[in-house]
Amino acid sequence: MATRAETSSQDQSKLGGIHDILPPGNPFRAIFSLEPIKTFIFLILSFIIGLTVFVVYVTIAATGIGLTMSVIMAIIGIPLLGALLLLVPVIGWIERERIGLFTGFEIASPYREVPDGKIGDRAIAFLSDGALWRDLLYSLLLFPIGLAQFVIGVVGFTVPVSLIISPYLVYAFGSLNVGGAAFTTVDTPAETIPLVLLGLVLGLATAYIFIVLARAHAVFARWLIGPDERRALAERVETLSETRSRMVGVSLDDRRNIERDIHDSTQPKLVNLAMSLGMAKEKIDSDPQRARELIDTAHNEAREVLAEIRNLVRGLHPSILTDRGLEAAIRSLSGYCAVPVQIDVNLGERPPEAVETTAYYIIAESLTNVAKHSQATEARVMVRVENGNLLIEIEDDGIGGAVRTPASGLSGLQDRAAALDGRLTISSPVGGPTRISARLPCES
Amino acid sequence: MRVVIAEDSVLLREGISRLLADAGCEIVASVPDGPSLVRAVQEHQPDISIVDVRMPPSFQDEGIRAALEIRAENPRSPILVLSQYVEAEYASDLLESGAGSVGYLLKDRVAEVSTFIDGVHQVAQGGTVLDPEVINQLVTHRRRDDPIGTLTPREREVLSLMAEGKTNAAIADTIFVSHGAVEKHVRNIFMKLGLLHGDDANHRRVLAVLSYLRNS
Repeated sequence: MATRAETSSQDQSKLGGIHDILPPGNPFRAIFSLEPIKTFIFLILSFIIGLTVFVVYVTIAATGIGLTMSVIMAIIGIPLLGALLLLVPVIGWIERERIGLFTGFEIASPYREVPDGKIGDRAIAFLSDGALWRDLLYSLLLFPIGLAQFVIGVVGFTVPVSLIISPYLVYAFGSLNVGGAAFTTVDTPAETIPLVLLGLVLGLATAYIFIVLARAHAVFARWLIGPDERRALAERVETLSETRSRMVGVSLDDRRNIERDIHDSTQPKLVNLAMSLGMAKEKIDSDPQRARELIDTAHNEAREVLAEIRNLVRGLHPSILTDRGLEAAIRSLSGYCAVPVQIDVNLGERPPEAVETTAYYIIAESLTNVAKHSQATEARVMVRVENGNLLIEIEDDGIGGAVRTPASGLSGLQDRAAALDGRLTISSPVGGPTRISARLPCES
Repeated sequence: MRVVIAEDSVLLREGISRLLADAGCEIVASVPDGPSLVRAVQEHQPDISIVDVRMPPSFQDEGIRAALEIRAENPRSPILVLSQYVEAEYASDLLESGAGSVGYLLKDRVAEVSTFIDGVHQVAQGGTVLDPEVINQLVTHRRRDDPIGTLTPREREVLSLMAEGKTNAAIADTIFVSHGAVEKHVRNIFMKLGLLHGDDANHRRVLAVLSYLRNS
């Protein structure tokens, strides 16, 4: 029984359930705590913030729209309206924090991460985020809601308090009119005893009502301006399935490249080698001088094939990574990079293998790009662990202008990072410098 | 010369055995993995062990680990490590594991039969041999303000040869100059890099050069 109740309340809380409006446990425990005072302050604040926000919005919006209408002044008007939209998430943030502080309902930010990139793309991502518009709606609703809360708060506070202090009022002013149709006059302190009792009961009731109201506000806010878990989940599934299909592409490309390397270069060299030896065998009796030359050639060809296979195998999987970990592997990579590399690696224990390998490929590919395209004279690789994430940064002092096209190595790296739920960002303004940063979660 | 070979590929083990036998060596044991190498060296006390890096059971740097274990017990036990590709990191570990009698070469070098056999002899006699590829990794790409930039091309060549473990005489033979000229180059290099060991003691010199290259 208990288990079922618990489960259902959990499910409901995920969907912003109405259930949470009542404080859990014994109502009297909630009433005789600091909760009524906290929630009273909360209700009053709702009004103050709601009013302020409303006034600010109306002022900015009216000015902005007015200016925009008069065409020429639109240069000021449109940015003003933009600034208004930038204000919305700030108010949303203040509200989420306030609700957490006063009611204990922690509401996470509903906003999607705005990707790095051109200012236009960022603006589109910002404007197309439903959270922005829901925050706007909430902040507009805060004024009427806050007004109602203010009235209930003030009445709910003054009525019981006046009743409770009625003996003093009678003592001070001689008599007291008690409102309502009955319109009785109370003029001795003894007669105020029922009033005091009524005040106490009303006080307890309003204390509970304050708590419920504040919680109702929080539940509403959680529903309107909290993260939408279903939507977030759907987005994550979409990202993962996209990443997965691209990863299949990446690994197919990898296989194709290996096949091409072996087919175009290694195999022909081995054929040549076998041919040279075959010819040498033919000539060994008739023309020993020629045979010796052929064997010499074969020897050189064998050496070349060996060097080639060595590089090929190294590219498939660097054994130093498995043997000695990321730091040693990066130092080894830097030894092969045509540009001097400064290494700043700070790792505690070794990250999981998949993370380590992905980090290695990101750094290897980035350093290859530095050497090939950047015209840099120096590069820097930084790796550290922060809050369970492996952070990687590769920076050079080159000409910048690196672009991410679907076919480039850079988007392959982004896919590799995304496959681990990580993120890779590229900053490469024309003129430089180029900086590749990646964040890979170390715990799954 | 009595040799122990540790190599998990039967083909290569046979190949190297044949090559060494041709050169007049006696193969006292050939083993396929790290632990049996350690046992074989204890049992036979060979003049040199030739060891592959990647072997069972771990298929990681098993050969290096076995070599370090052997040399922890006997720092003068000569070991020549062969590897599919070389890493400066491993080279330092090996060099620091004892006083000389150590080598680290790419497996490909076996194909240069006479150079390889020379290396085997050098290590067996207490010398140090490092693959040019290791030096290449360390010397080629330096920072702009590196003192190595002040070396003349000839001095750089001599530095690389020193790091490979060659003696002054061998360097003189390799680059066709007189013994005196090599000594002069060596003195200049040590002065420019601010290194202390100017003597001809092969192992200490390699170690000094290598640690300079790795740590600057």
